[in-house]
Amino acid sequence: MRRSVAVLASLSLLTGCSATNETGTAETTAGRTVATALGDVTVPGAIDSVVVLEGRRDLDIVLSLGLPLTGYPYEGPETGIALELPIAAALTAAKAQGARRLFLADEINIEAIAAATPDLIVGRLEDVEPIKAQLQAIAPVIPVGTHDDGQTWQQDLRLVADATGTQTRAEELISAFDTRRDEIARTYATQIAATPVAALGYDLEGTEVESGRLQTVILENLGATLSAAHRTAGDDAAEFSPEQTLEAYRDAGALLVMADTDDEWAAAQKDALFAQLPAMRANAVIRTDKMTHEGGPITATHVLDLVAQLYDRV
Amino acid sequence: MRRLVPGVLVLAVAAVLSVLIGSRTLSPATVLDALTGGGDAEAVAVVLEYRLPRTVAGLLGGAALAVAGVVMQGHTRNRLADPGLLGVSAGSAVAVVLAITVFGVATPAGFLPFAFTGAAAGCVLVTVVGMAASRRRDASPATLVLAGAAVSALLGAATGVLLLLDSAALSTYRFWTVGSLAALRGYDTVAVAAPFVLAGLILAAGHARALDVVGLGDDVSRGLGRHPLRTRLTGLCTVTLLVGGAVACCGSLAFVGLVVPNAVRLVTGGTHLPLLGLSAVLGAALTLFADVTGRLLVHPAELPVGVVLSLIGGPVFIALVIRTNRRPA
Repeated sequence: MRRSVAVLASLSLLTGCSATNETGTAETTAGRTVATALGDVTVPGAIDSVVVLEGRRDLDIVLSLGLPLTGYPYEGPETGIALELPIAAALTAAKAQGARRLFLADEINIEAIAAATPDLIVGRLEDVEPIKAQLQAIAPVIPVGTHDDGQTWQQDLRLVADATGTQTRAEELISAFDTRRDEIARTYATQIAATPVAALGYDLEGTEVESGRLQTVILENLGATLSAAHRTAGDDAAEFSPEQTLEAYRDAGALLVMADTDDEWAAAQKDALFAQLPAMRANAVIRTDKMTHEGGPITATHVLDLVAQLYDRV
Repeated sequence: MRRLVPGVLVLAVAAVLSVLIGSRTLSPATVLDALTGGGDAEAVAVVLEYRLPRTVAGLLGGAALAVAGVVMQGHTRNRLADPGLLGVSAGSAVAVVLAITVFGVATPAGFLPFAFTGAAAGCVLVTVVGMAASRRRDASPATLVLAGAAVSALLGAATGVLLLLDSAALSTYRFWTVGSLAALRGYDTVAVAAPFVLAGLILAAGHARALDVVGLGDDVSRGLGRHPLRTRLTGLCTVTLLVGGAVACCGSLAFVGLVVPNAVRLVTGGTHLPLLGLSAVLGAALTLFADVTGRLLVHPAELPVGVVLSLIGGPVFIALVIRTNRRPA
């Protein structure tokens, strides 16, 4: 299928004509044009170099689609993130192909991006907007969404796939995710129905839940019963002080706990109120971190696996 | 002693409120049960693992900063001096930022050794620069203040550069620099900081007579058998112990070391032993009241104690300056 797409693209180039495919992508001699939150963006037909700006959803999508990643942001040691990245294996493979770190996460460096001479830039919309003109002077920019703006990773995956002619791969990834989700939903149907779950962030200032985070979205995809803390958050987020920990998550029979650093995880385990939570007492707890708040197909599948491990403990 | 009793009563009220009030509403009876080892497990955890350590930390931190302020003002003969003047706070800050950016430290207990080392290094640097800049072997108070301002500016610039290069570090650092007691759990941090603070308080009390003499000038001080350099080094050591311990407990709290000594001086006069004693008591009380206020203002969330202290401290300090300037010479 990919080959036939390539053949079609070549034919288009040879004949110099333009066409609009079933996804709404216009393919011309200049490349493929897709409609994005920043307006129509035309991406070259052949892409040899892609740079990403944020390092989670954008990076995951580029790696999943097998695009030639050349530059990406990285988390510095000050974040203390201790768990292996969900995308670690794919990133290692990309590094072997020449991908390299360009700048610290949240410290976008335009000069470093320009030096990487990308054919395409993929980044979070909120990162792109303030520096749109500078980025567009370097290469076409495809903005992706976040958990805050309601744009799903599947929509963004399809957008980038349309822009890069990798639609088949995107549909395979989405289908694989759906199959795994359905399998987990069947296997753990009893636990899913009976056990309220919370996906919470823990740090020394307190705990919080947020509706649009990838973990919460995937729990909802599975039809999980979310704990009262999530109902308090509604479509937004809810924060709880350390003293409110037990009150907030007392009903949860299982917890996905996001603790970025080992210090925070150790503090959570030593925390007298956290230790009294029914889920902690039953050891129905799985640790994760902010790198699973957001992501694409690899991270989403990783979160599905974490949820399966969690239900195994219930 | 007569002046100390009301101060201790105020502190006792602040401590009781600090144990009674929090984001999880508990009745006084439940709190009392928890304190005596009874009651339900949640109340016991809230009171014994959160509120009590937090109260002790606020008490130690507030007392330490207020006493450090008295010592600084005595040595520099400047009532506007605060513990940050001699590079102590700036040294702590740069060390904590390095701890965050280089070693990924993110907890109060983890900041402790860095805060102490940085405070000591900042203080030593100021002393060395002050002595090098002075024509005499012992730097004068004015030279020390100038050296402190220069070194603090330098260290502040280094801190700024590190933070500008790394916004994730800034996120962790802001909790420390604002000053907060909310992250304390149990007694680990307090247990490490308390010996330093207590040593500093004892050293300050033993140093009170010397501070009285320092206020008369170096020549008089020498005439009365004091050794100005030794006295200053003792003072610097005291301030380092106190500020290092205080920032480890509750981060970098503004105004306690400035406002409390000046307010107490209106009651006790300039003699240092009562000034030190009452400053310690009221510094602790002010910090606890500010922390309790922070818990009430945006209940059930919290405002960091450092923010509340700045909101209270700024206007109070202005009022003190106006009142002091209006008094006849």
